[in-house]
Amino acid sequence: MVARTPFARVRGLGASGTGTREYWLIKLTSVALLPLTLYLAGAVIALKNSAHATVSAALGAPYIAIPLFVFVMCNAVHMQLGMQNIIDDYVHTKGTKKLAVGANIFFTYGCAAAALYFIVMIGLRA
Amino acid sequence: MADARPNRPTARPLSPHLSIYRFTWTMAMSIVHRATGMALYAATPLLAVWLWAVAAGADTYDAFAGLAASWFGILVLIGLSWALIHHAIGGVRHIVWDTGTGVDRASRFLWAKATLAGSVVLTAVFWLFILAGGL
Repeated sequence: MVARTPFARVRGLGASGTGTREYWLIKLTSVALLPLTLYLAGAVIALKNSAHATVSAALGAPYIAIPLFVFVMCNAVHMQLGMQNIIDDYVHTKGTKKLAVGANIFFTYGCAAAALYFIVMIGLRA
Repeated sequence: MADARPNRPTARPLSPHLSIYRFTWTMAMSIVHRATGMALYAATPLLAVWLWAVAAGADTYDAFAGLAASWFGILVLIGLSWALIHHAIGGVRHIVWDTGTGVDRASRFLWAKATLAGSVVLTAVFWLFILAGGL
């Protein structure tokens, strides 16, 4: 006799239960990214014809470095969740899906780690 | 309930997408929102490369700036700025929709068309401003 209830067979097949958190994070980061992008785009345009020393000094100053730091972090979360959404929609094979979700996390936070490292480097030299 | 067998891959019904719907403005802008998001995702390493060039010193930065100011660099930057502006307006539209406003037929089509028109106009204004040497 097998003591398996119908519930045991379907356990784990439902929704992950983390959807609300993902929704909230992607919205919160989008709201944060809007003013950060406008501000930083303005800074980049202002620096477009500047020499390296000027650009380096500006990016190392707290009024650019700190918003840039926050931008990189918000962008990483936002793009990771956005791509995960696409993967969830179109990749239905279990192994491929795990691979894609993992690669997405490595890529997004790898990009962020590199960017943050260089922001710190620029700040320390400025 | 007796049909639920988690250990055997079964063809579960998926919600239909893309190919089976007729064209509407909201679906087109939904697809473009996703496409621009993917383009911005792919372009994110460029941000790290730019910061690396600044950190690496004047020679590296000058080489990077020269590449960015070439016709190819400008073309890529125009494309990326349009993608960013389109994705941003699309994001605002989604937040407005999240509040439950603007979801009736007329409003949602107006929003969808305004997203496309607004992104093109703002990108043009942005680049006229830059290339005309303003600021």
